[in-house]
Amino acid sequence: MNFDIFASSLYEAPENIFYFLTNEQGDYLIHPLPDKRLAFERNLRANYLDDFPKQKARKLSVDGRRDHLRAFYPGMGLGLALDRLSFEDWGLPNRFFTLGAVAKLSVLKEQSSDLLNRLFLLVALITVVLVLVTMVFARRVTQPIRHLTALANRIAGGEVVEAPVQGDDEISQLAGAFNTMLARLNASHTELREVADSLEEQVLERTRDLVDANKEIRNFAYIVSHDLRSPLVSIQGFSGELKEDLADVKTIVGGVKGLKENQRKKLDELLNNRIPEALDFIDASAGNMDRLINSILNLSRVGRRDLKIEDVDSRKIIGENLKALVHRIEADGVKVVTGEMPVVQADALALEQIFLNLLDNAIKYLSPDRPGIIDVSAETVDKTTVFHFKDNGAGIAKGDIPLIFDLFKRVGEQETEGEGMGLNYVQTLVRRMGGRIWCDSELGKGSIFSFSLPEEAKLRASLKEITRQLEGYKE
Amino acid sequence: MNPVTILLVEDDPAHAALIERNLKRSGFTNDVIKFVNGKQVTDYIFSEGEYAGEKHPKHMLVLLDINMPVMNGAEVLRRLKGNEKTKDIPVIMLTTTDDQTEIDNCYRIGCNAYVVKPVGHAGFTKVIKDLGLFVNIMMSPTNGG
Repeated sequence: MNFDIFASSLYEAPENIFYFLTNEQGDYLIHPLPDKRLAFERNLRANYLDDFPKQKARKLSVDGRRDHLRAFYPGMGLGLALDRLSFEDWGLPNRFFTLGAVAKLSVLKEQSSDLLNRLFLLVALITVVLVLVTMVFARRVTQPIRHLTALANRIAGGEVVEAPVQGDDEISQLAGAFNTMLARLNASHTELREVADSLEEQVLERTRDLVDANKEIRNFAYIVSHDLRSPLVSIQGFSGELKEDLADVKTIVGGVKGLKENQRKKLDELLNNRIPEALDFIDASAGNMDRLINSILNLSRVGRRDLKIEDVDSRKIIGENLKALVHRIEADGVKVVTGEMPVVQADALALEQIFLNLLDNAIKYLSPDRPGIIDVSAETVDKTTVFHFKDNGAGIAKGDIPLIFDLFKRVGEQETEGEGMGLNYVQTLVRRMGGRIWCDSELGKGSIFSFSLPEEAKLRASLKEITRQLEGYKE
Repeated sequence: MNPVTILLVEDDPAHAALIERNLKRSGFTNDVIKFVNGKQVTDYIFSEGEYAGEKHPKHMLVLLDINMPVMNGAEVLRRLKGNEKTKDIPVIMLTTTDDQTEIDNCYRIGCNAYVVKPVGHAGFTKVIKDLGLFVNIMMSPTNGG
């Protein structure tokens, strides 16, 4: 607001009157001297009480309220009128500005106290106008802001609202921007919810699929093993029957007279070599198939057996394993080194089977070129124990490593017997206890098979979760 | 001589032939009647369906396979053991299934014995021979048969 123009409408000699505005402490917000008007902005703080000390005022006329006064400063040749601009109505009881008008005493002399009265009237009027103007202005400013604040609070509380937009001032623009932001927020919120929902749906669907697939595999394994076994019983049964019958035939043929020499030779070859050999092959093949089927059946049973998680001393288990394998270890001249073996939370039988298979594999695939060394160790990090079975054996080609855990998969040159089920079985057991199995290997140098066992709480949680999902799905 | 008739319920004719041969080999001379599914044998025992109105032997023993079409062994067992008239007919499960839950299930329903068919010929022969002896003992008059 331009005080000078405002004052000139009331008073004829504005050049002789100076106005100022101070805060509660009396520091100038607007300095009376034109060249220092906005000095406080440059951090040049000055107080009006220093310029107009109360002690030096000759006559004070107070209007009941503090800072609502008229005073003469004869020493300085000045007259002063003050009024207070209070912010009480806006809920700020202790905040106020002081508006002041200063006139040179020479002017005052001429026009006596009438001027001082008019000076005060001027100040009072300016105050009133200022109050009115600021009130209206402040209301226009603060109300929408308060409204926006209230809206923001409601949004924070989870409501979906919109800010009213009136006019096109900054506040309205702010409200508009606020609304745009709200709309975006709502949109992204909706999107997020949709994504979350569909994700949940997807997870549920996948879980269902997995449970289905799992069940199918188990049923499949069971049916296959049972249904394949049945014809095997017949094959081996009748090859046995044939052997019995063959014995009868041989007895009868032995007693037959009048056969030519070449006929007898041919019959001998057939009855003593060719037919028994064929029957032996049928038997052996059926036997192999039976072993394979039994392995699948065992595997399908692993998936169904309830694990019992308890404290298990892995040192004790590895000791028992080594005892069971002692003949092979001694026969092959293998050196087995075991490090610190901790007590872990696991299913004892499962852990024993895992150890046994990994040790068995390590022995089975040792290199014939050097004495075998198998190093068994364990480390516990973050309550997860990791076991390592390190050997200096044949090793596995890099490309084959991902295949070794597959069912019936056997990689590399096969010089040893096996069904290709051991590692798949081990993997199933490790996973059921919430762990993971992996292999680092270098062809010709050796392999390290490692598997992790998480802490009991996690383990139980994962078991519980799986059970819950399975049960939930059953219904 | 106790005239016990063996009802052999087996959908696989090769198995049926093997069982019959081995029973005979162990000196078993009783009559053996073969059925290929559970429906056939229950019809026979209850004189229903194709056996309606027909009479059956007084003393019977059932050798029962589990996995069969139309009506499986467990269902046959349930029907026989659930009926006052037939619950005393001895039923021996004779199957390739060695699954513990299946075994438990059959014993729960009330089978008199559960025999797993071994894959090897020698084992098979021995099991059927033992079975023959077992049946003879079970059906002997002193045992109330």
